[in-house]
Formats: sequence, C-alpha cells, structure tokens
Amino acid sequence: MKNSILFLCGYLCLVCENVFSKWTDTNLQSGSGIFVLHLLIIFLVFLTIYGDEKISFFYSIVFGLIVDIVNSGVIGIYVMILPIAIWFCGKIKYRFENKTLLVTILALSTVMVIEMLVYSVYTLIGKTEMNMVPFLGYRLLPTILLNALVLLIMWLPLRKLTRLSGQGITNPKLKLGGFSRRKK
Amino acid sequence: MPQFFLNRKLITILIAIIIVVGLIGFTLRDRLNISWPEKFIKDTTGFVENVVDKPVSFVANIFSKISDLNNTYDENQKLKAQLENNIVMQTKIYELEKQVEELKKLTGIVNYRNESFDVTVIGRSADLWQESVTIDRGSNNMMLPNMAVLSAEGFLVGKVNKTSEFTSDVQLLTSSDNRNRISVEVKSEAGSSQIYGYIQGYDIKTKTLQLRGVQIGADLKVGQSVLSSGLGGVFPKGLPIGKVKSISLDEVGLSLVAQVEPYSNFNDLNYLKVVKRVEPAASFETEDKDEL
Repeated sequence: MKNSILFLCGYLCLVCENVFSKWTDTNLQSGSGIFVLHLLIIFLVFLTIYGDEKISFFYSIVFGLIVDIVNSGVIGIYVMILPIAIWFCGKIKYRFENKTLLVTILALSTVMVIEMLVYSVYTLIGKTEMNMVPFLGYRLLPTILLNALVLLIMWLPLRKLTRLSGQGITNPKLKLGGFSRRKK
Repeated sequence: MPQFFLNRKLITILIAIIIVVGLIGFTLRDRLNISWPEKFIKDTTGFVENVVDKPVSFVANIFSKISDLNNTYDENQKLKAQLENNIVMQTKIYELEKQVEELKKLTGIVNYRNESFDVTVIGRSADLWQESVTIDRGSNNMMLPNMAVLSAEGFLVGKVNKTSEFTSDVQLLTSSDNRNRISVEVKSEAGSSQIYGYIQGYDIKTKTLQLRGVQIGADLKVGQSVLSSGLGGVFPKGLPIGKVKSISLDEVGLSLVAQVEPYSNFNDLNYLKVVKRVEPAASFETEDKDEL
C-alpha cells in the first residue's frame, strides 16, 4: 500500500515535469535560458535520505526506464545514470548526522551531476550539438536555480511523503549493525 | 582469476553495463515501430499527462486571457485599418482561385489535396535535448510517422516521429538531431531560377535554422521566404518555414549557408495541425475508395 502510494507520487512527479516544461517555456525558456524541472530526482533523493534507500534504488531503475521511453526514446541513458546517483546517495547517507543540510546539498548536486552526465552521454552519441560553455550558462545554472526554488517549496510535503516508507531511521548505528550482520 | 568470477557484485554490475550499452545501441537507430511495452508506457503517460494538463491549462488560459484583454484595444485599431484592405483582397483571391481551377482543368494537373488533422499538445519532453512534443492522437487516429506538423498559424514546425496507439511524438525543427533534414526551396522573384537546399540544424544562440547546400552564385537574398519543396519525399510542397536572415559561406567554402529565422514560435506550441502528404497517384485511390 505504502509502496504503491510512493510509486504513484514518483510517477506524478515525472508527469509534472513534462506538463511544467510545456507550460513554462512560453515565458521562461525563450529569454534567459533553459529551465528544466527535476522533481523526480529530488523525490528520489528525499526517499533515499528519509526513507528506505533500497526501495529508492529500485524505483530509480524503474523510473529511469520510464523517463527514457517517454522522453527520448533512447533506452539506457537515465536507466544507467539515475541508479548510480541514487546508489551513491544511499552510501553517503549514514556518514552525516544533519539530514536537513545533507538532503539539500545532495538533491542539488545530484541534479547537477545527472545533468552533466546526461549531457556528456548525449554528446558522446551525437544527440546534441550544444557546446560546453552555452550548456553551463544557458542550461545548467538556470536549472539548478529552478530546482533550488522547487526544493524550498516542496520540502515539507516531500519529507512527510517519503517518511511513509517507514524506515526513516534516526540512529545510524542500528542500521549499520544490521548491515554488517547480513554480510556474514 | 577464479576470485574475480566469484565476486557476484562485480559480475552483476558488469552484466548490467553490457545490457545498458546494448540497449542504447539498439534503440539509438531510427526506429519507426516501437515495441508494445514502450507503446503501453507511452500511452499511459500520455493519458495521465492529459488529465494533469486539463486544470493547468485552465489556469494558464485565464492568465493569457487577461493579458489578451489588455492588448485588445490596440489590436482592434489595427484590424479596422486592415479590414477595408481585406475585402479588396478577398475578391481578388476569389477571382484568382477560379482562374487557377479553370487552368488546371484545361491542362489536366491533378490537385494536391492534403488532409489535415487538428491536434493538441499534451506534453513536452522534460529534458529538452530532444526538442520534441507529445500530441493527443496516435496510430488509432490515422497518425503515421513522417507526417508534417504545422503550427496553428500554418507554419511548419516538425514531423511526427514515433506513434503509439493514442499518442505520438513530434520531432521539432529545432531538434539537434543531425538526421533531421528538410528539403526546401527559396521563393525568389519571378523570372530568376528557383533556389533549392536543405535545412539542417538549429542554432540555439541566434535562434535560427541553418539552410545548407545552396550553390554559390545563387540569387539568395536576405528577407526571402523559405518553403518546403516536397522533394525530400516527407513533407508536402509549399509549407512556409521562415525567412532568410543572413547569408555566409559554409566551413569548406563550397556552398552557401543561410540563417533562416523560423516564422513559428517553438516555445509556444499548444495546438498543432498534422498534414498528410497525398501523392497525385495515391489521391486517385483514396477518392475511389470514398465513392465505394
């Protein structure tokens, strides 16, 4: 039940990204740069930090596949990059106490890293002809600013939502102990 | 070596990478037909996007209506001035159309009768690399790959790329995909020879399309309008694309390159028209079928 709600929310985030890009570009995209909303990535980072990182990893594969099919038609780009980023977030999770700071930095840096990785993969396979400098100025900077704003607005709802998955563990040692036992 | 093969995590990661790279290679080529799981996911997402889009477009329309109201007075004044001119033009057009019909009957030229469908944009690819939009008609509603897509004003904006049952993807002219080529002609003054070329690529900084392959010495001028020529076999003839903004030599110096400013605003696409190219020979068949 909880999982299906989370899945639906993730799916809704994905749909919102597309509808957003349809309705904002009239005013925003033409002048100052390209604003890309990455609500799904923010959602997955929240789920990793406040919820269960294993569920989040699983979702990142599923949603990566859906994003690839719906948006570009080239399967394999988000499927590859999204899980790597989320796995890394899951690894870094237990090294920090302050989750509020961690989730802010992680969400924005994940958006940045994914944008850059996707850009480099697209350049590699010849899908884009944008140069590095316009990419940084026109796309990366506006995108990060937009996502920072969205992060601020969606903070509370996302935190409440992702804690649904039940494993918002406050004591990291408990979880670490569990890990080491399983390894044996 | 055996230790290497015993490491299950490493093997899983390696296999995953191989599968992903294989998938990229497999899906990167030009596919006209997509498999049914892809179609299913696309259609479902299209449906949900449609549902989410309804309230959003309601609110967005209210705002655009308010801004429209502000402009109404100015526009009205301009329209009044144009109205008188219009009546004269209309009678002229009527006469000319009649003449063309009669002349065509005399010479036996078959009329191009392009069928068009009105479609609504339900989504735009969230990451804008591909520069594509999703429309609310699919193969169930007569959509086929490679149909020309016009803006509401009638300017060429792209082509249908992939279709699923209820939605299809439109690849815009601004797409950075270098396989996206359109054969065009430049409307020159009467008397001089026609100029042909093709449009390839979009410059995001100057917001212009690149017209390539024009012979050196051609009578290309700034301000001439660029139409689709119908010679590429994809688009119908005579769809307006844009006008020539500046002209230069290409990288090798063997042909002219012109920057073409598109007529349509690619940032504001809500309602589109899809045009089906009807070949003269094929049009006979369809007419026969209609009669049966």
